[in-house]
Amino acid sequence: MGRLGQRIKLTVLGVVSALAGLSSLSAWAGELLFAQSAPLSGNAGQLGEQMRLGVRAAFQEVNRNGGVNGHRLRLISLDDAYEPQQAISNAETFVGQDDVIAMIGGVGTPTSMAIVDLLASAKMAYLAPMTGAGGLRDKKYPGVFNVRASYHAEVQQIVQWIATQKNGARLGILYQDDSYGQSGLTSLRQELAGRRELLVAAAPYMRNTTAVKGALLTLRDAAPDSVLIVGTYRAAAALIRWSRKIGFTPRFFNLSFVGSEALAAELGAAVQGIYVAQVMPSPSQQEQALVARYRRALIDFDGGVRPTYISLEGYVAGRVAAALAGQIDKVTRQSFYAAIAALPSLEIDGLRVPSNQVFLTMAQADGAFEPVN
Amino acid sequence: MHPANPFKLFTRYSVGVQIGIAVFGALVLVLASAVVSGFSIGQIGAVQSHLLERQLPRQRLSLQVSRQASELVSLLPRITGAQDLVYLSVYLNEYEQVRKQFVQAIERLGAAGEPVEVLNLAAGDLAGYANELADLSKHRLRAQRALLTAQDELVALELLLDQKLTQAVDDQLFFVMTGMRTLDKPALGERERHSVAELERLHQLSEVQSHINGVFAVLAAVGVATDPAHLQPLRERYLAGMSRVNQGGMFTHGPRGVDAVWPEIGQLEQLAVGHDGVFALADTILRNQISESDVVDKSRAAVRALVDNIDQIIVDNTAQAQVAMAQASGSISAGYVVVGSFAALCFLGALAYGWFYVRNILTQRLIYISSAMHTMAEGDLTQSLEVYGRDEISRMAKSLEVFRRQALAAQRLNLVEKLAEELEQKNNRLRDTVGQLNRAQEQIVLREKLAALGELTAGVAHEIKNPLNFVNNFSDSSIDLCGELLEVVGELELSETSDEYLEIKEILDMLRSNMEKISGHGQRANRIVNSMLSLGRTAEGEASTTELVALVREHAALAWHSVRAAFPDFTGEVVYDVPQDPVVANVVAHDISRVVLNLVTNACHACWERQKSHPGDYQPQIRVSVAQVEDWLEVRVEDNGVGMREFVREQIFNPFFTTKDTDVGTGLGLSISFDLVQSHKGEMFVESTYGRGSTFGFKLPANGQPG
Repeated sequence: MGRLGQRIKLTVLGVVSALAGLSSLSAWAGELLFAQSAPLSGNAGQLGEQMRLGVRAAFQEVNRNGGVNGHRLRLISLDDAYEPQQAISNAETFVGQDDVIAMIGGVGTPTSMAIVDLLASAKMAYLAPMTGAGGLRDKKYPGVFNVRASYHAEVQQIVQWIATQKNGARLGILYQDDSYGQSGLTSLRQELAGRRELLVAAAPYMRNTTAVKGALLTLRDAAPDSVLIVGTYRAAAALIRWSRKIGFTPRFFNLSFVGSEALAAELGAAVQGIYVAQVMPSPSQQEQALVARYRRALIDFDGGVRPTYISLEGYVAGRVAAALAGQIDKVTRQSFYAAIAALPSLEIDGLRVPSNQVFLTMAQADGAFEPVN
Repeated sequence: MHPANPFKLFTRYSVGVQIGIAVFGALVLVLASAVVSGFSIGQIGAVQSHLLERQLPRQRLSLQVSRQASELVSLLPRITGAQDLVYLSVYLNEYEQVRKQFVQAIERLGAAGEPVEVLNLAAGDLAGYANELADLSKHRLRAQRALLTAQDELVALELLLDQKLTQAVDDQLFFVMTGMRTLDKPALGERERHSVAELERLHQLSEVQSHINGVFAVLAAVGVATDPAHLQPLRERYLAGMSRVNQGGMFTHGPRGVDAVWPEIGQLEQLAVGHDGVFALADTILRNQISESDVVDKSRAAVRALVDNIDQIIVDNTAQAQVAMAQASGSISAGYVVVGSFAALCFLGALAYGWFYVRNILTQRLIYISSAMHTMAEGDLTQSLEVYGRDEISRMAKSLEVFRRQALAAQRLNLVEKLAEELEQKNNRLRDTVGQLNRAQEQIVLREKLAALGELTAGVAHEIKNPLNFVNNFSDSSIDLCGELLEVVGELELSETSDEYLEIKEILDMLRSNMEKISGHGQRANRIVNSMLSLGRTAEGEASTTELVALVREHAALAWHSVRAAFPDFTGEVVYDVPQDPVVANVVAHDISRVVLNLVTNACHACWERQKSHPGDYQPQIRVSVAQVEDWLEVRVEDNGVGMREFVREQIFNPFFTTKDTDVGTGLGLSISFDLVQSHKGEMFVESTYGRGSTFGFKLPANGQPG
């Protein structure tokens, strides 16, 4: 069945929810439709699911408070399984659908880079993709609004921390064989230039697989003190587990893209001591207004779900969408795109986005992530 | 008059009937012409309808059939080029519709009389080809869609296999290097992990991975093959690749192998060489396309043959049509000739009718009557009309004749009346003239009397003049003697108060006064005699060019002075209203002078009379004017004296008529003036208002000769 079956499933789902939505639409002045293309299955499925969850929770909160100028917010999602070809197909579908205002909550660098030109020429905004790639922060894409700090900032934070440690002069990197991995590698190389720390091993692995063992041997042979993983949670978990199996125990650092909670779920108690750079505040830090509202919205949406970094990012994305829409008189694809292009930054409950904040955290045995300093 | 009229006998009937007869004749001719031309046109029409009903429709239908056939052929490429079943069915529908129209067109052509068996056969063939093509196309499209789906699946499969194989290679390599296969089991020793089997497995996995890539490339090439012949080599290459893969797979198959890959390889084989695999589908598609192309070619050929057939039909029809057209042309020419000649005939007939009949019967007679009327209007009623016939025009002539006679009679009566009137007028004038003559006669008699009287008085006056002279002389000398005596007495030294002196003075004064009286009366008698003498005198002297203004001024002044001398208290003055320029007339100066003198004297006397009786603030004035009024020279003497009453004015110019005392006027002055003016062919006039004044005047012809 494969992808076709998935597509059919989702289409049916979409139709049914649309029909359901129509019946309840009568109370609203209208509806603002946002679209998401993200991995909802496969090796990066959790990333897309968490983003989707966050956006929907945010939308529901806004709708419960009267929507945006009497308009209801709604999200539709299509699975791209972290494959760029499918992402293109999904984006074409959304562009062709006239009532879609903008795309929101995409996941991944290659998938985003594959569609960003298409969206720019269709004057459709691309809101808060879960990627820190420099390419999406380029001025030639005024319709892209990034919420998170860039990968470079994350790498920078990691390297700076390593530099403060006594024994951390040797670094290695496991990176996905795609633009995401490359951007990580490039950022690391840039950051290490001029420092005493050295990059002693750089090992690629095939994206969307856990075929990291060959890379592991390469890394082990170079004997770095720290290893930066530029990949998703499955590959990272496999590396970490097998590293321990063969007795290779460097400090492991992950970028936020890895999916912190998913990684913890994969490794279980073995996740302890693994470092993850975060671009969002901790979802357990209830003192923060943003986090408190997020947690409330999440409970309202789906009581049994645990708060995660990624769903918090999705929530912020949703809130950004609502705030932007609220500033426009007549929300259309064009007016939304123009608003994004003109917007330098926005504040959501004390968090200024685009954010350049990176928090380095370390996993605890219970799966929580505590900041290190 | 008019010439002999051969149509006279027609005039027995009324004009309406006459015209009717002629018009009827003309109509008959026109009808005949119309019948002939109608017949001729009918002939042409028959030919034309023959053409229209038979030849032209067939042409049209033939062309229609040809056109439909071409349209059918043009639709075929669209069918073969349809991208999906929806478009295919649309195009097939269109084709079917056009084919139906095509069949109908053939039927119509057949109904019109053309032999259409060949066409029907061709139509049947085309229908068959169309169905064949439809089937082939549908089959091909289904296959194409299936191929697309298969290719999508192959792409997904390729990625999946790549990932899985990479994973497998990764794991195997790791195992070989570390002896670890799973997290839970301990590492195996070098002997196991470096065993030939394990090394071979690693090698084969790598081989499989690389060969798989080749296999996918071959399968991609299958999708874009254009010739079924190319499929076989591709199939060979596929089999070569797959045998390598299977070979490798043999080594990986088993409980310690990467069995997970095997189902995917099975799927790959299915997608490649299975019943609905890409090879089969590509083969079907390409072969179908060739078949479709064949069918299209056959259809085109059939249509070409059909079109040729129709061309032949059209050519035949055209030939027939031309024959018919030639016939029609012949009819038309004949028709032209007949109609033309009849039209000429009618035209000539009308002309003849117009000329001979209308002219003679109607026009000429009307002209004749009209000219007769004109003559009568001019006044000549003597020409009588010739009347014949019994129609309206004849009646007109008859009536006109009657009228003429009556008018003539009336005219004569008029003439008689006019003459009578003239006669009466002449009688009146005659009476007047007789009256005038009588008056003239009276005047002549009077004049004769006066002339006789004048002669008498002249004779008497002559006789009296002498003794009068004596009387005057002696009385004057007596007055002188009295004066001398008075002087002598004065010398006597007598006291001026003595009675003798006083007596002598008194007697001498009385004596002188008596003498003066005698002298005065004698002078008066002298004057009378002179007047009487002048009465008889006719105009004396010759006429000459005289300046009147100077003459008038001079004699007016003379008159005024003489009156002043007679009556020193007279305050009247003479005012002149005369032109600056000289006024010249050819007159007897002496006579005109006498007239001016007379008039001004009379005017002064009249003023003196008024001044005497009403001294008051009366300012006597005598106004003398000379003016040229048109052809007359007018001299006016206007006074504001006593004026004259009516009866006086009437008689003022009569001789011996006077308003003055006997010792002042003789009553002859104005009479003489009157005569003098008349002798100059002039006129005297008088105006007067009693108590206000009088105006006497005379006018002379400006350039006249006195007569």
